[in-house]
Amino acid sequence: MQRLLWMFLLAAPAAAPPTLDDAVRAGWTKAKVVPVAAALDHEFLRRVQLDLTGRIPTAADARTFLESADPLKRQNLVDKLIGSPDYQEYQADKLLALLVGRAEKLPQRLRPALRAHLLKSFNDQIPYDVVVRGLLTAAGEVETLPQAAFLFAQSRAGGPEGAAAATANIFLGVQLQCAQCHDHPYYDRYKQQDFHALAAYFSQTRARRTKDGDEKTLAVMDVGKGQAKMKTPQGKEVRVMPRFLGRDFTALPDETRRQTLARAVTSSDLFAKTVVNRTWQELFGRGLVHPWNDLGGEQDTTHPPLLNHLAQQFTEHQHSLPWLHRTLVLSAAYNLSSESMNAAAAAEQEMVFAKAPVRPMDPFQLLESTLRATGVGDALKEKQGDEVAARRREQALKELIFVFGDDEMAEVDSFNGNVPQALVTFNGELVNRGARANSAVTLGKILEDRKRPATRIEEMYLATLSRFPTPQEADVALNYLESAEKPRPAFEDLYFALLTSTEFSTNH
Amino acid sequence: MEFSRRQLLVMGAGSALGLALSRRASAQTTRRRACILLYMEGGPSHIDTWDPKPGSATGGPFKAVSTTVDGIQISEHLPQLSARMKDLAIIRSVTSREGNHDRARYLMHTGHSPQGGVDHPSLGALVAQLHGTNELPGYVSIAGPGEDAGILGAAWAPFPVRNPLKGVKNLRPPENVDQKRFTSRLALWRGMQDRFISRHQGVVALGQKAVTEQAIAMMQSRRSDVFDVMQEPEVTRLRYGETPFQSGCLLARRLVEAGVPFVEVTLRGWDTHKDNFATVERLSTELDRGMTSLLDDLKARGLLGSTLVVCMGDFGRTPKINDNGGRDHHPRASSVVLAGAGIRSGQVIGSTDDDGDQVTSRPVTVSDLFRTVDGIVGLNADEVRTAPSGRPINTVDGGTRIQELIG
Repeated sequence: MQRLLWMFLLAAPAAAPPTLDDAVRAGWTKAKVVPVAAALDHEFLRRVQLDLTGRIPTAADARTFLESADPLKRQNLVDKLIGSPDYQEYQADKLLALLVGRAEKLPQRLRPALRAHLLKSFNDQIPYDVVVRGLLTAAGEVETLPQAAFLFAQSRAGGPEGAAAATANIFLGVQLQCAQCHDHPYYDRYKQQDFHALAAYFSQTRARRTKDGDEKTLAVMDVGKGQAKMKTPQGKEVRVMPRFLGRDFTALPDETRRQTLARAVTSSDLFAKTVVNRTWQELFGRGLVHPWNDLGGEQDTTHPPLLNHLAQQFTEHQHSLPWLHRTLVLSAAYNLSSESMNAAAAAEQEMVFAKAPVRPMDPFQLLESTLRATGVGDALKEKQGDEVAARRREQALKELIFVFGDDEMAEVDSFNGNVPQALVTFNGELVNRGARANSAVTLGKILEDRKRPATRIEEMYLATLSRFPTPQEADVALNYLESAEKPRPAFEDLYFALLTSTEFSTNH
Repeated sequence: MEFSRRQLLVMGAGSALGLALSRRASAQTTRRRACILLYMEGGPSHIDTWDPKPGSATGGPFKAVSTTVDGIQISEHLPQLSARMKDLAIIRSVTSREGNHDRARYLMHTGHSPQGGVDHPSLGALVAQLHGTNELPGYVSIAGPGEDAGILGAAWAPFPVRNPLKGVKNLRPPENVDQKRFTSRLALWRGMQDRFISRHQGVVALGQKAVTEQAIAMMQSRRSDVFDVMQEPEVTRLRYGETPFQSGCLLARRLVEAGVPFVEVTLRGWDTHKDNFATVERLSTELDRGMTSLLDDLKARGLLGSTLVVCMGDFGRTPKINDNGGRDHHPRASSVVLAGAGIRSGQVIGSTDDDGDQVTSRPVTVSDLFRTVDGIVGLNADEVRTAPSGRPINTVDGGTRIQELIG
């Protein structure tokens, strides 16, 4: 019933531009793939909360949503989430990881400033192209102009070439960095010359670290001179003038090279396509072109029509990330189930977005969701204050990021789980503190507020898995409680099993 | 489709992973060997280590010194290794096209350049899968991230140990959970997993479950004490040295002894765009002591014949010394050193020109190298796997074995 109603609503033009759903459906037909059933409310709720805000819903929010009979509740939920501070924080954190992923590139103390800048951009609903233009053109001290931190980090680590490679990769979805040393072995679209011509836009930019007494100043500035050079295969050094991805782009009078580049970047068809494709990959597990940063080149005729269409719409909607998120999460494809009894069929379905994927949570999601489900974060805040709580959160995040296999957040999109993560989940302080039945944390509060065993179990499922238990699950839990010598440890064991389950640690 | 009994146990018979990775059946005739990869992250200067160019204008200040093998010279800052040259084979003519760190690291760990949409498994993951599961992980990566298992799934991903002196965290349940309670928790946990797993068939859910089962096996195994290098006598720890890399070499020996088939130990800092010589001297000294102690111990314990030791990095570095006294990325030529596993050691394969710029004889591609290493550790380099997308993935693309090493 719920599923039928939802599919009916999707057919209505108000939900999403029809062309998006039509294009995805055409892809199913072409691949001769039958999609799975539509997502149930609890599947949609948990998935969209994780994707947009990086954390699961509270038990109370989950109950309200699941029990609501409002036919527009999915749209309303999405609007509420997109307007929430959690959305801004999570999206800012992800963008920060993308811009300055490598820890060693940026002094730790500059991270919060750049993060705050990005957060403010989301809060003020600054269009994405304006944000990027700011990052590419910022000239001044990083301390007072936090958006300069991006180029400071990238050019400090790799000079003009590093800045060019990052710009091409992050904003244009083009892997130009291999052309630094040689012409690309797989496609001949861009040559070594093109890479160095892109780097030439940064050849008059300097990332400087000056020391005045104890004061260290970090700054990005333009010096009005400096030429890009490259070595030809014959070993000769030649001067290279700025060119944008192999074509001329006319500079305006009085423009710095970086200002010209920023205009070229944000007006290229690749700019919108890249952010659309990356967002699509974040939400669907794989890009429309996969991976998201391998788009090949400008005006590529092999790009799927859906990508072209969405990119155009994104541009028409003033490069609004909230618009993009809203459109994608309300599409028919996003509103499919993740369930499948057949792995081979599931792999085929996921290739054409005819089934929602099962994705391991990223470290942010895992930490924030565990904090929310256990109430450990709030307990710490109450007892020791915001500052201690924030510091402990940073520590826990660091530990999680490391067990995710790397200290570089940019890598975690390919993360598939590993043994240290399982160890930290099973034996780490966070989960074990959170699975205690004392009144400072969630489980203790549930036991205080609810007295009937069945209701307590229901609340425990809502707080962790964002759904009601099935009758069989409720029976298993009740039997466990009845056969236990003491009730409190048995509740703790149940909560522990919920928090360490694969259903908890994945987004599905 | 062929899986070992142990693999089937982990995955659950008839599971999805099996379908996703349909493997071409192959008779296992080669001997399996363990492998220790000493990974020089950042790209070590071949000219200032294994391929010295005394007398060249850009050869740098280091002296080339004689080794225990006539006619072979290496850097003066690798003195203990030069005394063990009879156990080493240096390939001076490795050449690739990947001059970007991330791409080169992927290449040197998987044998493949990154390509959109294909997740190649790392060598470590392949070796781990070949040996199957036991209480200890099959691929341990010390002081560095290692490289993912790609299409093989999370079950074969590297087990990272950040600081070998600190051991593995969270290996035992907290104090308030005794064995009896842990056992009953586990039974409950397993029962509660089944519904989700059976309804979400696929690599991710199964991989997560396999990984957690492996963690549980480790928690309950006494053998996981092997991760504690502090159990070694102090004199041994001091002989290796106490940097993360050096104690990582000691941990690698302990792990291989305990049956772990693939261990990677990372030595960071070789990206010497600035101050190349001071940095390379320091790192060479660190490498010299750690690697020498490792080789000596493996030999003394009769493990060198069954263990391949490989020392390599992202790429080589330019002959040209830049304005900051550094050398830049140079994938065109680099050196890879091998030892153990019964290879023909005490030799140099290939050469570069007078500056260390171009390979002048016996060029060795990364495919050649991986095909050779695969053969030594017992992997079938011709095996073709199928990605979940249906795309066939070669273990190694082309290449020929380096006969001089194994001939």
